[in-house]
Amino acid sequence: MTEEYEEGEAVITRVVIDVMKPRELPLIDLASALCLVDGVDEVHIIVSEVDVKTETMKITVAGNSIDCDELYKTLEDYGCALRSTDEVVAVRK
Amino acid sequence: MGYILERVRQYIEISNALEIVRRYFVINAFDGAVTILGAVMGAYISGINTPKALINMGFSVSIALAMSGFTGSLLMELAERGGEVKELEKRLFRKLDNSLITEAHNFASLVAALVDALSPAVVALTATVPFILAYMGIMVMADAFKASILITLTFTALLGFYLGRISKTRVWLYTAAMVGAGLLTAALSLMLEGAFHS
Repeated sequence: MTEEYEEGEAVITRVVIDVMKPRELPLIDLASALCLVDGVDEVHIIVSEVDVKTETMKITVAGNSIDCDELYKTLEDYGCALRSTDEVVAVRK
Repeated sequence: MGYILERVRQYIEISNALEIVRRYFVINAFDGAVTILGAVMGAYISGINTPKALINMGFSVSIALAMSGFTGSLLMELAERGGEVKELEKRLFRKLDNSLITEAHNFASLVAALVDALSPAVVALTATVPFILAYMGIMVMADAFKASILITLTFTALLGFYLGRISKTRVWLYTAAMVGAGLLTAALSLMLEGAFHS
């Protein structure tokens, strides 16, 4: 039984993050860029707060094996600020 | 290639570059037209009648307009947009160096500077073409002066028409205002001649 667990690999299949982005950055461009991250199948973005220069949003990323480093790197490249990671789903494969 | 075009589209959308470039194009092309008109009128009333002098003058004016446009708007845009990015950094609590936002604003500054440099220079150079034709013996100097002034006034009319189209109202009013400014420049230059002769 123990050996069986050791052979498994944990993969991330869902991440919910709280992100602040510059208003001038189009939401569609950001969603498309996140969708191209390794292992991502779906991206849902809901804007929760709008400021003069920024927008705060809840991003839900789902996929079969999300590359979280690349996900965070993409957010950084697009000028977004990661405020918190609110939910993570990991599964063993 | 597709990736580059997509990046350029993002830069344009983020930095709102099209609007600023359009403004720079009209303002500076008009600036170039009126400047070269003033210079040609100055040469005319001063009795400078050799094609070579007017070609040199036209090229010098074009270089000066291009240099002034490029340097002025590049530094102004970088300063203005740099300030905006700093403000955004405060709100986001992070640096934006090497991000899409900074790249977009740098791209817009460079494009604005190039448009600011090229639009007046192209107008001034086009107005110099009749003097090149006169130098080649294709045109007499009196006709070259008339053609140069006509080219300049045509540019002002086209710019006025373009502004009218943008505003979606009173196309003729914008055209008349732009051409009027050109004609006023020419008239004031001619009055200058009278003032110094009396």
